[in-house]
Amino acid sequence: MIKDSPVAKIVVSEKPDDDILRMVAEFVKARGCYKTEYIIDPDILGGIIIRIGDKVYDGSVRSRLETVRRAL
Amino acid sequence: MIDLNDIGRGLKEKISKVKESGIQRSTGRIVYSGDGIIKITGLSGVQYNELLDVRGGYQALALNLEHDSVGAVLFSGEDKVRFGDYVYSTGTTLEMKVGEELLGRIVDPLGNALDGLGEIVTGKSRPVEYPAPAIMDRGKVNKPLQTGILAIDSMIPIGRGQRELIIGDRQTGKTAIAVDTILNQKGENVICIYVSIGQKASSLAKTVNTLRSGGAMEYTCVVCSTADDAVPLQYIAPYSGCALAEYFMYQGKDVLIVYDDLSKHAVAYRAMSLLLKRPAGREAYPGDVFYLHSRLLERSAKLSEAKGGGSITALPIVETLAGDISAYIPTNVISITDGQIYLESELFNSGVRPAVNVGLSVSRVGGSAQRKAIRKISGQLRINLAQYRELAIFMQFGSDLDAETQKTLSRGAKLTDTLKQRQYLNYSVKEMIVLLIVSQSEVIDGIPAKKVTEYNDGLLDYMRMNRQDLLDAIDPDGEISEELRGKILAAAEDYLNYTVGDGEAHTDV
Repeated sequence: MIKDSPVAKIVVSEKPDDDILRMVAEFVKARGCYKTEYIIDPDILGGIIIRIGDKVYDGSVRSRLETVRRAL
Repeated sequence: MIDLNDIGRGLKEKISKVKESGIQRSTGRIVYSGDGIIKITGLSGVQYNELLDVRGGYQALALNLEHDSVGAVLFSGEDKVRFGDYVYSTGTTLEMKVGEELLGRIVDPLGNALDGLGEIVTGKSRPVEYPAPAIMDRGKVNKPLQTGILAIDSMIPIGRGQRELIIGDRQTGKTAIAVDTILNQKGENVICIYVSIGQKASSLAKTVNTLRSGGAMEYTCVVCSTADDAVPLQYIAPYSGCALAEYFMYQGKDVLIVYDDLSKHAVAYRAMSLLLKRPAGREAYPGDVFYLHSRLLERSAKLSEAKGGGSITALPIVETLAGDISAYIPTNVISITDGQIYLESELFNSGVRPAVNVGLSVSRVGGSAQRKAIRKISGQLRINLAQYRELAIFMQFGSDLDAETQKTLSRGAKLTDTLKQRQYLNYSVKEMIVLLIVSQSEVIDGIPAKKVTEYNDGLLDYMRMNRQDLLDAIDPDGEISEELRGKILAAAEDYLNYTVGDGEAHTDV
């Protein structure tokens, strides 16, 4: 089962600390995913984007600012 | 002096009101792009008609949900999206900006300004696709919508909440009737929406100029998609316009909406459907082309008093080819609407303008909404005209006719002339009543043939200047007394003597 697990792609703006790593691992395990792959992309300005299969959990500062921009 | 703290506070307040759509979104990747159509894999949980965000800030509409991919149409950026680009679901369907701010403006089907008068900020929107009012929410059509065109208001009356199709070949004055109707709503407390679907930008510019110079833009919004716009924009344009109309209708206001024209709308939908590889039916239109228009026109309604009593009157326009009203789209729309105004190029070219074919035009519900006085005096009009046309066919054989027949013929011809009306020259209800009374009386026999239109224009001027008391005495919702009728005819006779003099008045018969 673990072998077939999808890879969770995680985008962060800077190198994550241990606390975050642990929380992310828990989060993705709860969604049936055991492998993680980290990408560091300062463009997201902060926060985190987790992509499992075709589901995206977008908690990045960039997308939240984008929402504000559209609403104003 | 503007206080920076105030601005800061205002912004904070606004930002605190921003609704976040939640962080979980479904994504997919583009695996096909061409002709404005994209196919996307992934996107689990996407809805039909859901708005999609394509990377790069473009928007698309999910229309085909298939086993392993989603077919969507792009509103813009069809040459910018790349293979493999991410597409995000938004969880919302398409919405149109609504509000009083849109009156006097020209907008695209998403509510963005196209007239260069600055961005439109309303803070309100309505879904572009919305269910029609339920049966119990509807009221009876009982208030007239005056077009200001004698031939229509007397014989094919339109009520508020009715759907009256304007159908005819190209260049027969379809748009002219719609524009005249919008112009005539000045001071009538009717909000007008003109939806252009796949029109030439040049003809649209002409229409807008007419509306503007006629002072009609104050209460009118133009929702526009031109022939060079992306096909999906042309497809949603009438629904967007209708969403705006509904906003006003549910506030209890009366709205007039013109869809110009639905045949181009059907063509745009056909293009989209064929590119999405939906099965083609008759004339290559997809199977749901009937539903396409029925769901749009069902949203026009007269609401019951309990629901505020607002209404949407729809004037859809359909263009026929070579007068063929039994083609696919014309028959569909004829069966959906509550009547049609049929325009003929033959009439148009022979100088009968508006070129309304009285025999084929009907109004199925407007009669009950017609002003009482007009209904009373125009009752015989249709029959008289029908008799005239029947006789006119015999006249072509050139045989000798008895005096009675000649009189009927001459009267019929003059009646037809009375119904001719220059564009942008709308009659008020009282003026119509005067013209109808005169045209069905002995006075008309005295007017020289071919001078009727001239006489009518002059008569109305004369009445306005010298006999305003008679115009004031007319009650459009009551009976026209014999006495008043006599006075009006006497005034008409006076004017006739004044213009033609006794000598030449009776020489034409």
